[in-house]
Amino acid sequence: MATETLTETRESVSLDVPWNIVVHDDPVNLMDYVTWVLRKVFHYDHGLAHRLMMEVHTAKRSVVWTGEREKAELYASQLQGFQLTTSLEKPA
Amino acid sequence: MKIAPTLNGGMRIDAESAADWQILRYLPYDARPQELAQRLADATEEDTTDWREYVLPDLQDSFTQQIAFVYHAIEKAAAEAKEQEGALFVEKEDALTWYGALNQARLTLQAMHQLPQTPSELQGMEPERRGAFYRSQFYCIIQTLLIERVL
Repeated sequence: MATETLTETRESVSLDVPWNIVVHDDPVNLMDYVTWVLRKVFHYDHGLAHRLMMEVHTAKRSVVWTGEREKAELYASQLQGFQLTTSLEKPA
Repeated sequence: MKIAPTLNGGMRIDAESAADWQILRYLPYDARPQELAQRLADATEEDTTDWREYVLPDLQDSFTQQIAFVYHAIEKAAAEAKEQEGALFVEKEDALTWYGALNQARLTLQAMHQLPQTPSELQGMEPERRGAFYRSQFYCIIQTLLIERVL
Protein backbone atom coordinates (compact mmCIF):
# COMPACT_ATOMS: atom_id res chain seq x y z
CA MET A 1 0.00 0.00 0.00
CA ALA A 2 1.47 3.31 -1.07
CA THR A 3 1.73 6.20 1.38
CA GLU A 4 1.40 9.78 0.40
CA THR A 5 3.11 12.72 2.03
CA LEU A 6 1.33 16.02 2.07
CA THR A 7 3.38 19.13 2.48
CA GLU A 8 1.66 22.22 3.75
CA THR A 9 3.28 25.62 3.56
CA ARG A 10 2.07 28.52 5.65
CA GLU A 11 3.10 32.10 5.21
CA SER A 12 2.97 34.71 7.88
CA VAL A 13 3.49 38.38 7.19
CA SER A 14 3.91 40.96 9.91
CA LEU A 15 5.32 44.44 10.18
CA ASP A 16 8.99 44.63 11.10
CA VAL A 17 9.25 46.04 14.60
CA PRO A 18 11.95 48.59 15.30
CA TRP A 19 14.99 47.42 17.24
CA ASN A 20 16.84 49.33 19.91
CA ILE A 21 20.59 49.64 20.15
CA VAL A 22 21.60 49.85 23.79
CA VAL A 23 25.03 51.04 24.95
CA HIS A 24 25.98 49.82 28.44
CA ASP A 25 28.17 51.55 31.00
CA ASP A 26 31.59 50.17 31.81
CA PRO A 27 34.36 51.44 34.08
CA VAL A 28 36.94 51.73 31.30
CA ASN A 29 35.67 53.67 28.29
CA LEU A 30 36.31 57.39 28.72
CA MET A 31 33.30 59.69 28.61
CA ASP A 32 34.77 61.87 25.85
CA TYR A 33 35.52 58.76 23.82
CA VAL A 34 31.93 57.48 24.10
CA THR A 35 30.69 60.88 22.90
CA TRP A 36 33.23 60.81 20.05
CA VAL A 37 32.10 57.32 18.97
CA LEU A 38 28.40 58.23 19.00
CA ARG A 39 29.15 61.25 16.80
CA LYS A 40 31.30 59.16 14.48
CA VAL A 41 28.83 56.27 14.04
CA PHE A 42 25.49 58.11 14.01
CA HIS A 43 26.65 61.61 12.97
CA TYR A 44 24.88 63.05 15.99
CA ASP A 45 25.64 66.62 16.97
CA HIS A 46 27.78 67.08 20.05
CA GLY A 47 24.83 67.97 22.31
CA LEU A 48 22.86 64.80 21.56
CA ALA A 49 25.92 62.55 21.69
CA HIS A 50 26.92 64.07 25.04
CA ARG A 51 23.40 63.66 26.46
CA LEU A 52 23.28 59.98 25.45
CA MET A 53 26.75 59.41 26.89
CA MET A 54 25.64 60.96 30.19
CA GLU A 55 22.62 58.66 30.21
CA VAL A 56 24.95 55.67 29.77
CA HIS A 57 27.06 56.98 32.64
CA THR A 58 24.24 57.74 35.07
CA ALA A 59 21.54 55.19 34.16
CA LYS A 60 24.12 52.51 33.18
CA ARG A 61 22.49 52.11 29.77
CA SER A 62 21.05 54.21 26.99
CA VAL A 63 19.03 53.47 23.87
CA VAL A 64 21.18 55.30 21.35
CA TRP A 65 19.30 54.41 18.17
CA THR A 66 16.03 52.74 17.12
CA GLY A 67 15.16 51.42 13.69
CA GLU A 68 15.05 48.51 11.32
CA ARG A 69 16.91 45.36 12.29
CA GLU A 70 19.50 45.24 9.51
CA LYS A 71 20.67 48.77 10.19
CA ALA A 72 20.61 48.15 13.92
CA GLU A 73 22.90 45.15 13.47
CA LEU A 74 25.27 47.18 11.33
CA TYR A 75 25.44 50.04 13.84
CA ALA A 76 25.81 47.63 16.78
CA SER A 77 28.73 45.88 15.10
CA GLN A 78 30.37 49.26 14.49
CA LEU A 79 29.95 50.24 18.15
CA GLN A 80 31.48 46.93 19.20
CA GLY A 81 34.34 47.63 16.81
CA PHE A 82 34.94 50.76 18.88
CA GLN A 83 34.86 48.50 21.97
CA LEU A 84 31.63 49.79 23.49
CA THR A 85 29.49 47.17 25.24
CA THR A 86 26.41 47.10 23.03
CA SER A 87 23.25 45.02 22.82
CA LEU A 88 20.25 44.81 20.55
CA GLU A 89 16.74 44.52 21.88
CA LYS A 90 13.21 44.45 20.60
CA PRO A 91 11.05 47.06 22.28
CA ALA A 92 8.57 45.41 24.66
CA MET B 1 59.18 59.01 30.04
CA LYS B 2 57.85 62.11 28.35
CA ILE B 3 54.73 62.41 26.20
CA ALA B 4 54.10 65.48 24.04
CA PRO B 5 52.03 66.56 21.04
CA THR B 6 53.84 67.02 17.72
CA LEU B 7 53.54 69.90 15.24
CA ASN B 8 51.91 67.65 12.63
CA GLY B 9 48.99 66.81 14.94
CA GLY B 10 50.33 63.56 16.33
CA MET B 11 52.03 62.61 19.56
CA ARG B 12 55.48 61.43 20.60
CA ILE B 13 56.43 59.23 23.50
CA ASP B 14 60.05 59.57 24.62
CA ALA B 15 61.32 56.54 26.47
CA GLU B 16 64.43 57.20 28.55
CA SER B 17 65.19 53.98 30.36
CA ALA B 18 64.83 50.22 30.24
CA ALA B 19 61.87 50.52 32.60
CA ASP B 20 60.10 52.85 30.14
CA TRP B 21 60.50 50.30 27.34
CA GLN B 22 59.35 47.55 29.65
CA ILE B 23 56.07 49.26 30.47
CA LEU B 24 55.48 50.07 26.80
CA ARG B 25 56.12 46.44 25.92
CA TYR B 26 53.48 45.34 28.41
CA LEU B 27 50.79 46.95 26.26
CA PRO B 28 50.48 44.27 23.54
CA TYR B 29 50.57 41.55 26.19
CA ASP B 30 47.92 43.10 28.41
CA ALA B 31 45.45 43.15 25.54
CA ARG B 32 43.71 39.87 24.67
CA PRO B 33 42.01 40.63 21.35
CA GLN B 34 40.26 37.29 20.94
CA GLU B 35 38.78 37.31 24.43
CA LEU B 36 37.63 40.92 24.18
CA ALA B 37 35.89 40.29 20.86
CA GLN B 38 34.17 37.27 22.41
CA ARG B 39 32.99 39.26 25.45
CA LEU B 40 31.59 42.05 23.28
CA ALA B 41 29.83 39.56 20.98
CA ASP B 42 28.38 37.72 23.98
CA ALA B 43 26.90 40.99 25.24
CA THR B 44 24.86 41.41 22.08
CA GLU B 45 22.00 39.31 23.44
CA GLU B 46 20.71 38.89 19.93
CA ASP B 47 20.78 35.60 18.05
CA THR B 48 24.37 34.95 19.01
CA THR B 49 24.80 32.17 16.43
CA ASP B 50 24.62 34.63 13.56
CA TRP B 51 26.61 37.21 15.50
CA ARG B 52 29.39 34.73 16.16
CA GLU B 53 29.45 33.67 12.53
CA TYR B 54 29.43 37.10 10.90
CA VAL B 55 30.56 39.76 13.37
CA LEU B 56 32.91 38.02 15.79
CA PRO B 57 35.59 37.15 13.17
CA ASP B 58 35.67 40.79 12.00
CA LEU B 59 36.03 42.04 15.57
CA GLN B 60 38.81 39.54 16.25
CA ASP B 61 40.67 40.53 13.07
CA SER B 62 40.32 44.24 13.73
CA PHE B 63 41.45 43.99 17.37
CA THR B 64 44.37 41.69 16.48
CA GLN B 65 45.54 44.11 13.78
CA GLN B 66 45.53 46.99 16.28
CA ILE B 67 47.76 45.02 18.65
CA ALA B 68 50.09 43.87 15.86
CA PHE B 69 50.51 47.46 14.65
CA VAL B 70 51.35 48.77 18.13
CA TYR B 71 53.65 45.83 18.87
CA HIS B 72 55.71 46.47 15.73
CA ALA B 73 55.82 50.24 16.35
CA ILE B 74 57.17 49.71 19.88
CA GLU B 75 59.72 47.11 18.78
CA LYS B 76 60.92 49.28 15.88
CA ALA B 77 61.36 52.31 18.16
CA ALA B 78 63.12 50.17 20.78
CA ALA B 79 65.49 48.78 18.16
CA GLU B 80 66.37 52.30 17.03
CA ALA B 81 66.86 53.61 20.58
CA LYS B 82 70.35 54.65 21.64
CA GLU B 83 71.32 53.66 25.17
CA GLN B 84 67.64 53.11 26.04
CA GLU B 85 66.65 56.61 24.81
CA GLY B 86 64.29 56.66 21.88
CA ALA B 87 61.08 58.17 20.54
CA LEU B 88 57.85 56.51 19.58
CA PHE B 89 55.76 58.59 17.17
CA VAL B 90 51.98 58.26 17.02
CA GLU B 91 50.89 59.82 13.74
CA LYS B 92 47.46 61.40 13.55
CA GLU B 93 46.19 58.77 11.10
CA ASP B 94 47.28 55.99 13.47
CA ALA B 95 45.79 57.56 16.60
CA LEU B 96 42.62 55.46 16.55
CA THR B 97 44.65 52.26 16.20
CA TRP B 98 46.72 53.27 19.22
CA TYR B 99 43.63 54.29 21.17
CA GLY B 100 42.00 50.95 20.38
CA ALA B 101 45.05 48.97 21.49
CA LEU B 102 45.27 50.92 24.75
CA ASN B 103 41.54 50.44 25.29
CA GLN B 104 41.83 46.69 24.70
CA ALA B 105 44.54 46.48 27.32
CA ARG B 106 42.49 48.45 29.86
CA LEU B 107 39.29 46.49 29.19
CA THR B 108 41.18 43.21 29.59
CA LEU B 109 42.96 44.30 32.79
CA GLN B 110 39.61 45.45 34.19
CA ALA B 111 37.95 42.13 33.30
CA MET B 112 40.81 40.13 34.81
CA HIS B 113 41.44 42.12 37.99
CA GLN B 114 38.29 44.20 38.69
CA LEU B 115 40.52 47.20 39.30
CA PRO B 116 39.53 49.96 41.73
CA GLN B 117 38.94 53.50 40.50
CA THR B 118 41.35 55.24 42.89
CA PRO B 119 44.83 54.49 44.35
CA SER B 120 43.38 54.82 47.87
CA GLU B 121 41.94 51.32 47.47
CA LEU B 122 45.36 49.78 46.71
CA GLN B 123 46.30 49.02 50.31
CA GLY B 124 46.74 45.29 50.82
CA MET B 125 46.34 44.58 47.15
CA GLU B 126 48.50 41.76 45.77
CA PRO B 127 51.46 42.93 43.60
CA GLU B 128 50.10 41.54 40.33
CA ARG B 129 46.82 43.39 40.70
CA ARG B 130 48.60 46.57 41.85
CA GLY B 131 50.85 46.41 38.79
CA ALA B 132 47.79 45.99 36.57
CA PHE B 133 46.22 49.05 38.21
CA TYR B 134 49.24 51.26 37.51
CA ARG B 135 49.58 50.05 33.93
CA SER B 136 45.89 50.72 33.36
CA GLN B 137 46.33 54.24 34.76
CA PHE B 138 49.34 54.80 32.48
CA TYR B 139 47.40 53.63 29.41
CA CYS B 140 44.52 55.87 30.44
CA ILE B 141 46.79 58.94 30.52
CA ILE B 142 47.94 58.27 26.95
CA GLN B 143 44.33 57.71 25.88
CA THR B 144 43.27 61.01 27.45
CA LEU B 145 46.02 62.86 25.58
CA LEU B 146 45.05 61.12 22.34
CA ILE B 147 41.40 62.07 22.65
CA GLU B 148 42.10 65.64 23.75
CA ARG B 149 44.92 66.42 21.32
CA VAL B 150 44.96 64.02 18.41
CA LEU B 151 41.64 62.32 17.59
